[in-house]
Amino acid sequence: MIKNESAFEKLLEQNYGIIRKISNLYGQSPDDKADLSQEISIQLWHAFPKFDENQKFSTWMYRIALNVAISHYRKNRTKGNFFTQYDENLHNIPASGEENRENKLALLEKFISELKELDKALMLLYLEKKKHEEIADILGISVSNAGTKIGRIKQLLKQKFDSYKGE
Amino acid sequence: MEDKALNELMAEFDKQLDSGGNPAITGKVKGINRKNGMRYYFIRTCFELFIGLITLNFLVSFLLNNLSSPSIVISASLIAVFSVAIIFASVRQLLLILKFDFNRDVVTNQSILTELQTRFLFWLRISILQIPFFLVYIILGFALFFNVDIWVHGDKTWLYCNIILGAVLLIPVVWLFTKLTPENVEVPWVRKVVMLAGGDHLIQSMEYLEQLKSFKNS
Repeated sequence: MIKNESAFEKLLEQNYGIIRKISNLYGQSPDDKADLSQEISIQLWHAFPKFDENQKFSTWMYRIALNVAISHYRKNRTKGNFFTQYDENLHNIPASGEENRENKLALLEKFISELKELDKALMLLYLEKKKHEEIADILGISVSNAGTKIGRIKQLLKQKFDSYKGE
Repeated sequence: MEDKALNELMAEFDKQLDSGGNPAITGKVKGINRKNGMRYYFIRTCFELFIGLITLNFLVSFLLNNLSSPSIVISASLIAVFSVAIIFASVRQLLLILKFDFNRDVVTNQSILTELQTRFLFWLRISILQIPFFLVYIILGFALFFNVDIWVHGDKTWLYCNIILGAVLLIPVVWLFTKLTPENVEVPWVRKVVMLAGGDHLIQSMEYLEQLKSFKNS
C-alpha cells in the first residue's frame, strides 16, 4: 500500500465511524466532539507513515483514537460533565412504552459516562463486537483480563439500573 | 436487569454513538503543522539534563580544586550524588519520551504520558531527601562565596549540633521519601502534602497512574 494522502483519506473515510463513536463517547459538548474528531484525525495523519500494513487498519486506528480521546478527556474534564443535564429527568421511569425505553437509554448513557476513562474504552470495543484478543491488543492488557473486566462492567451497569429502580 | 435487556439497550446506545455526520476535516488535516505535545516534555527534560550536567561538572571541578579540604570534598561529593540522581532521572525521562509512539497500545502510552505529568513528584521527593544534608550546602556556600572553610573556622559546637540535627532528620525524611509515591495517593496526609506542593493536577495524575496499573494487572 502506498502511504500517501489519498490512501489515508480513503482509509479514514471507510473507518470514520470509529472517530465518530469515540468523539461522541468522550466529547463533552458538540464543539468538544468536533475538536476531538479533528485532533484524532490529525494524530492519525501524523502516525500514518508508521502504520504497519500487517495489522488491521481499524485496530491501529482504535489505538491512536482512544489514546488521543482519553488524553483530551482528561485535559478537559474539569470543564464540566455533559451528562449531568439528564439527572433531573431520570428519576421517574414509566412502567412501559417508548418513553421508558428512551429514559433507560438516557440512564445507560449516564452510567457509561460515569465509568472511568479506560473502562469506557473497553465498553466501546465490546459494543463494536471486537474479540477479546483484539480488545487486549488495542488496550495493552491480557486477554483474560479483558474478558473479566467486560463482565465486571456489565455487572456494574446492571447493579446501577437495579439500584436506580429502587430509589 | 436481565442480560438480554442490557444487551439490547447497549446495542441501541451503540447506534446512538454512531449518529451524526462526518465533519469535513480530512482536507484540513494534512495542512496542519501541529505542535507535538511531546515537544514540551522533551525540551523540559533536556533543560533539566543540561542543568544537571552543568552542576555536576562544576561540583567535580570544585572538588578537584579543593582536594586538600576533606569537608569541601565530602560536601561537593554529596551534592554531586544528587546531581547524578537528577541526571539519571532525566535520561530515563528522555528514553520514555522517545519510547512514546501513538502506534503502541493505550495503557502503555497513557502510562508514559501520565508519568511525564507526575514529574513534579520526583522534584518534590528529591528536594525532601536533601533536607538532612543542609549542612553540606552551607559548607559549600561559604567555601564558594567567601572562600572560607567553616568546618575549620566555624564554631565546633554549632557544627556538631547541625550534624546531629541532620542525622535525626534522616530517618523521618527517608520515610517521607518512601511514602510520597502514587501508590499512597489515597493516604490522607500524603494527599495533603502533594496537594500543597503540586496541586490538584498532580493528585489527578498520581491517581490515574494507579488506575492504569490496576487496569493492566487486575
